[in-house]
Amino acid sequence: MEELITVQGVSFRYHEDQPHVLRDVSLSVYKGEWLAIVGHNGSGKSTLAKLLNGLQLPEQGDVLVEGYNSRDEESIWEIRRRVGIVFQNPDNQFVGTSVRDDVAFGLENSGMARELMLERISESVLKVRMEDYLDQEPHRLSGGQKQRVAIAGIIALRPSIVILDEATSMLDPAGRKEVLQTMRKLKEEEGMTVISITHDLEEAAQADRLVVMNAGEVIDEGLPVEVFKKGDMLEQIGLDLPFPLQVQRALSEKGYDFSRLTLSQEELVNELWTLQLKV
Amino acid sequence: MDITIKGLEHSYSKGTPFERKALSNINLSIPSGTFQTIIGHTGSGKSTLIQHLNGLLKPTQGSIQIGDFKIQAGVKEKRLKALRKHVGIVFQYPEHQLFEETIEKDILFGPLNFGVPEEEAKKRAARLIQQVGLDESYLSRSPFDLSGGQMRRVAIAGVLAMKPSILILDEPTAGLDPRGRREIMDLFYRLHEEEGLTTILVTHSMEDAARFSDDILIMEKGGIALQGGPETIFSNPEALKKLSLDVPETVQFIHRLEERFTKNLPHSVFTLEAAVDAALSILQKGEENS
Amino acid sequence: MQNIIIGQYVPGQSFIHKLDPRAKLITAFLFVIIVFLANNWITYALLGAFTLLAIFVSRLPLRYIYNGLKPILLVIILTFLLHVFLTKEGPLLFDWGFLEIYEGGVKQGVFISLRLLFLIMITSLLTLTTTPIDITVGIETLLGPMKKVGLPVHEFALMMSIALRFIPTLLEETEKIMKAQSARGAQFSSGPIKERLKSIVPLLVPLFVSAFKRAEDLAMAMEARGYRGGEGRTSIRLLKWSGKDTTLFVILLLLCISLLLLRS
Repeated sequence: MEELITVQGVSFRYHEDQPHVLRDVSLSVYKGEWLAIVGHNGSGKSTLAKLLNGLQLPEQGDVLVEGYNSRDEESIWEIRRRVGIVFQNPDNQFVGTSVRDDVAFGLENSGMARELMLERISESVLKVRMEDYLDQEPHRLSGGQKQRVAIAGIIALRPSIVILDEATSMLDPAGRKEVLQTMRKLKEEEGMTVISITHDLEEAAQADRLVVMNAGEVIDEGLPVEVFKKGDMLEQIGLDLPFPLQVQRALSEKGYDFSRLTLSQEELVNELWTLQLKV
Repeated sequence: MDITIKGLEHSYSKGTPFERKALSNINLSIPSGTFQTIIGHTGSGKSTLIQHLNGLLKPTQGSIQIGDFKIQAGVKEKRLKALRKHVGIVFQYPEHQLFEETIEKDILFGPLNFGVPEEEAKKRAARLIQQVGLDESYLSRSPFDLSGGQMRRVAIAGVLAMKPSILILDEPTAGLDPRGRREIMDLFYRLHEEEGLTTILVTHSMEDAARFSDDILIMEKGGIALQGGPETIFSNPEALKKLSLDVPETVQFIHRLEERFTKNLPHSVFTLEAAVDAALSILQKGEENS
Repeated sequence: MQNIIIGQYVPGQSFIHKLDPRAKLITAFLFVIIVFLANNWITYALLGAFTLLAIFVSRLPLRYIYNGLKPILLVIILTFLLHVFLTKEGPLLFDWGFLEIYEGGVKQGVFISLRLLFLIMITSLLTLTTTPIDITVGIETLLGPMKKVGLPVHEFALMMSIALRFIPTLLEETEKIMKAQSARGAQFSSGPIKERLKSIVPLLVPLFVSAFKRAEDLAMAMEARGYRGGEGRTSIRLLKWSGKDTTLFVILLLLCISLLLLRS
């Protein structure tokens, strides 16, 4: 698999007299995967996002995006063009006075010709299904719609990676679904690489790979099923296991052995069925 | 204090071209001491409804009776401030209302406005800061040096310090991580039980609704779509699906078990423990049969 | 709060609405100068005709124009009275002992008031028929050449458009904070003045805190999306100079020539 981002031994703090927010973090992001970075509030996961597109620079170690090192001043803009971030607050990242203006913002920054911009805009609003709202003002949009506009603004630049930095945490369930569905579709149809930073393990359960952060360090990494085996560890750092796993854990404490971990209720009920047949 | 709402209607920008009806013909009664949950999509009128309960919004039609306070369309209630003393609201993202230099002063803001003597108010602040999970040394610190989650706790203490008998919670855990969410909801439930509060919770979380409520109100398009106890509401997943609302995981689980094992299981299963017990009962029955 | 109208813009499809904002800006600016060419009844009548024609063509309800005038009406009346009483020229019209009114004073009063009236009408017409963002883009384009002498034209325009973007957000926020503090016993709309003044602090502090937070977030989001100042930046907003705009200028030129010929 092609490695798009390499983080090597990165440490970071905001001020010299403050403790480190990230400590010796190393990880890789591969092309076309959905990587979830989980941790509770204050675990350093959002800071990591800022390092991944050069909004912050490592104190130690290196961040490489498709070969560009964020330490080189020249590379920064190449990195930002390749890595887009959807931030948490839908309002505070909407720059334009209308949907069209906002989607155009990144394109304008890159100095693109107007004709091409118009093409890119209609193409990307279509992908996030906001094509009917081009002239709408931001205060008339729902949170989920604003986040979809933010996604459109990013994919219009044709990046290789989109980071969702707790992008759904301020949305209602409907908005959350909207945004995640939009991103899944982009991943499947366009082969977009997605890094989703979240404290929602339900959402993370859908990822291809999981990185667990706590107190500025990467404490675990692997397939969701593998990571979820360490339920105690996840609960200790303040994360909630998905419901089917919680049930399974409680049952295994009562002496029932499952052949495998299940991430969905359907699978769980099937497992219970086989278990019942066995006894 | 009992709450009785009769024929409540609210229109925003009444009498202008932008007039928009947000609530229509709401009839509702919430007996004192109830844990009432209100569920509905964004824009269903939940927030508009709860803001009527302490006079932040005035009805355009109908009336609201809270204890011996009466808010009526077209009639000016002169005792709004007295009413607000009894009805506390924790708004969404309450940390946005913090403004004082110290946490103590911020917690005192409400009580002092309502004429609580300073000594008494300070005692309350000292007790509340611990109740919300911070220690007393925080009182002299600035609220703006805290983390988001801690700011939320301080803001909540500021509302509780008014000692309301009706506590309204508008999505009080939005944006918190799972542990923070659980701690805050447990705090509210404990207060509800210990102080005999009437609690009105607006939430998107079906899990919380199922766990804590005596009564659930589901709103849609400015009206009441469904109402009843958790058992009644969640025993009908089809009705919820029609409103594009989710069913709590525990309830889904029970329904799936019933379907797969063709067995009848108790329906008031709203906690993990109860769900596990249900699964156990099935597995153990299997053992008995064999 | 859903229906805030920023500025005074009234949507429409009239000739004036469709003009290029640059044309409207230049016209308004030139009009301010041309107004001073008028110095007799016929030239004032000409200016009046131009103003009324513009209002008529814009198809705006007169109510909006009147609303624009309302705050300045008192100033106009005072100006009129001041000239009527203080200018002592021409034949005496009235004499009430201490008060003498001369024909010159009345004339002067009417002229100055008309001048003010026309100016206000034409500038309100500009803001009523052009969205604030179009005005901003218009100013940015017109002042574009000034970038070379170091005038921060792009920054100014961006600042304006971000301000316009965030006005509704901040208004909504203000309302929320007011409600939250009212629920904690603050009094904004009733009670003694002293109480009300005191409640400004609990409103303003959270508002500022949140505005700064928003500014910080926005700056980061902008940087993340590759913003690095105005250099090399293109724009999605395109202003199109059309036949209509040239027509406007021809009319303006004719008005100017007529004024020059007819003034005494």
